Amino acid sequence: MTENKTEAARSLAWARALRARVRAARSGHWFALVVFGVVTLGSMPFYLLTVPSVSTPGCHPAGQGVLSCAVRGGVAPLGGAFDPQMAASTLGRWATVYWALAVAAGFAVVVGYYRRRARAAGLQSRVWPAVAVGVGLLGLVVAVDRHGAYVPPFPDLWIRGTAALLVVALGIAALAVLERSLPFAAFALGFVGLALLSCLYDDVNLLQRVGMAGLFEGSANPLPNLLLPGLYLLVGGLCSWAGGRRARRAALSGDL
Amino acid sequence: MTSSPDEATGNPTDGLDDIVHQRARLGILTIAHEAHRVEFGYLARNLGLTAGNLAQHLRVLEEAGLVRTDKVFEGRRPRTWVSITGPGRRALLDEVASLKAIVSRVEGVAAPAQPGAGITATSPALGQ
Repeated sequence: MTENKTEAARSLAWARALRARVRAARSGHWFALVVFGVVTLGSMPFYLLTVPSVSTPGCHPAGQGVLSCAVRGGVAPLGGAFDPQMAASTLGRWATVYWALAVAAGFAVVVGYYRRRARAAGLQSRVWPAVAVGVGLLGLVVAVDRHGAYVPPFPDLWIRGTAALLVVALGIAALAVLERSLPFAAFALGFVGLALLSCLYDDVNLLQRVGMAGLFEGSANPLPNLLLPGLYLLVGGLCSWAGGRRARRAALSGDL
Repeated sequence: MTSSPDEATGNPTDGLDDIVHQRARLGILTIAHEAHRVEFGYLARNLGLTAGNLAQHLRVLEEAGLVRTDKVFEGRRPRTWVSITGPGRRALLDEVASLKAIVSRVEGVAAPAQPGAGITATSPALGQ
């Protein structure tokens, strides 16, 4: 019986080492984090506040130097550029176009990376369910953005035009489930929280507490809502890449 | 194919399946369980098996319905991808449960075994 136990314990340890090696070899989420970190940071120019002018759709001169602008009735989760009834907004209207293209391209690049990696390593991971979640949600958000008169549930969530962060966050959370990685899942959960914060709160107030709000005065006021999540993803992705390299080396040098 | 460890005689070794218990085949199933699909070359390298030896083990597992192999051409290069089947996943989980039961029994631990290989009988959505 003791011999059986020794053999059983050895088999379990061996299986554990194999499993660690496979997980280290197939993990590619660092790339997704870096891609969406760059996508998020790249959206910042579109969130510089603009002052409505005569050329702003929905605005016209009302005489004596007064500008009259139609007020948008609904919400614009991404900025509202696809809404033909789009009225004056202080948010850069191209944010919608940017998010729709950049998030879709981001998912396409991530799929390409996983496929290339699978061919090179000889290990295939499932990534399509995460892409389906991300692209499906992106389609929904764009549709809501297109029909600005429709106010979806939890209206407070959509008024800052940063709903794309939630799309990215839920896509990344789905990827964490597929990778079966607890640290990555915890990181993804943190990003869901950060995305919610950026949709519901003016992050510049957080920076005010640490005396950094001066960097984001005036038209740059909304930028921390993109900067903080973008940096979170980018730094998390780079740390994950460095940690993954170490884990792969350790797993390869481990006895099997 | 397998029975739960204590089902018949109370001896946890009864739960071991000869097909799965063999070290190389346990390795193949463990790796295939962690990945969606795994390539023949990866298995051979990581299990330290020759191509002929690995092919033989794969044949045994495939005949038992525990794995599926797909031979494809990627460019001009032929490649064999291996994936675990539903029965294969169950057989692996049973095997791991039996191994844990043996360890627990000898250690005199009444409670269920500690997470050993990280492969549990419940849904392994998130591991360590």
